[in-house]
Amino acid sequence: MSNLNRKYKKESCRTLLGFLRCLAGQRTQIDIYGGIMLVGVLVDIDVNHNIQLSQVTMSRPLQRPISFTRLCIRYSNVRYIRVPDEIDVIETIRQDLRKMNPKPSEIFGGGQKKMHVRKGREYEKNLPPLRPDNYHY
Amino acid sequence: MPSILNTITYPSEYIRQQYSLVKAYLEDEYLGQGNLCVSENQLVWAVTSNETERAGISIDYPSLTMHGIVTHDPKYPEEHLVVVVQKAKEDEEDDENSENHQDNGDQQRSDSPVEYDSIRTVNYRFVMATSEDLKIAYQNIAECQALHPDPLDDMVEDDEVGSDIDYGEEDENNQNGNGNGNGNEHNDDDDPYGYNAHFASSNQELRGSHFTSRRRGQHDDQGII
Repeated sequence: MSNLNRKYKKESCRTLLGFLRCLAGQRTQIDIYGGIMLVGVLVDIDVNHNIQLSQVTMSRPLQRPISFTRLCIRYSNVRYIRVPDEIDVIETIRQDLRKMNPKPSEIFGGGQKKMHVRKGREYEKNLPPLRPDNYHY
Repeated sequence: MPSILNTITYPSEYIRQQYSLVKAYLEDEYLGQGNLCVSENQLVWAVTSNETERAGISIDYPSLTMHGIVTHDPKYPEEHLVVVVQKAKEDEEDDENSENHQDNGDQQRSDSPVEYDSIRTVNYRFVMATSEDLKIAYQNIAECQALHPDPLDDMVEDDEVGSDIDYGEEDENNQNGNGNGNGNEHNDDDDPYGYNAHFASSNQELRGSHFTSRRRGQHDDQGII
């Protein structure tokens, strides 16, 4: 299960979902269809875009607001997720990509050897040439 | 017994958890004490009874807008689970409790004429027997809800790795000589959003961005960033 989770996180880092997951821990406002507004701390967004929040205030039009300690929203009802102003979108995405795709030297514990490196220099030397010898004729 | 309760069939299979001694409230009206059953197909609260057909509430997960735990509420001293359910518009006239909703609905319609997609929601509150029950129920409902994605949303998936789905079905092979292999789509009838141009793997090389300069599925190189 943890492998699936890791794979999902890594793949999602190139999508909108990946960016939204970076907002975890931020206080955001989420607008729901029907004029409902939720302000709370993002806990998690799953692969289906269902959102979990904590310390939420839900305000509905003409009704008294309700405070939740935990709230889970179905994705199909979300109209907007407001990104806090202090978040730099591009920088957040960059950092997320960096975290998800670390250079081999940065991996704590060494990491796994990659497939294409295993073959080594011998393999590289014996590869067929990129262009045949009579390319320029 | 309030007449709001319908006669429902208590689920007998795919049950994740059942909780007893659960008090239920619909908006501010007390419905009684009974069993809450979190099954994979629906969320059911019903009065305690041995029969399969009981008075209660049955909530389908696709209409379950949100659910959460409330600890501090002026009207309800105990912490409880709140389930917000989307109401179908036809139910509004029949529902006795709808006078609040209709007033709000009318005001909503007059205040914001653009809200054509405004949904009507109702609150159910469930007071569980213990705090642990509450947390586990919240978790179970969240998991079961994740099992019910909307069917039409398959068309608007993100560009996830591995989703080389061919969206242009109809006359694609007839109208385009090479089917998906064609880089330029002259005829957009079967592919109005240009999905073929983006998702077909043979077209990936044509895009110049870093994210697609190598084969999909490989995250080995970090790229320029």
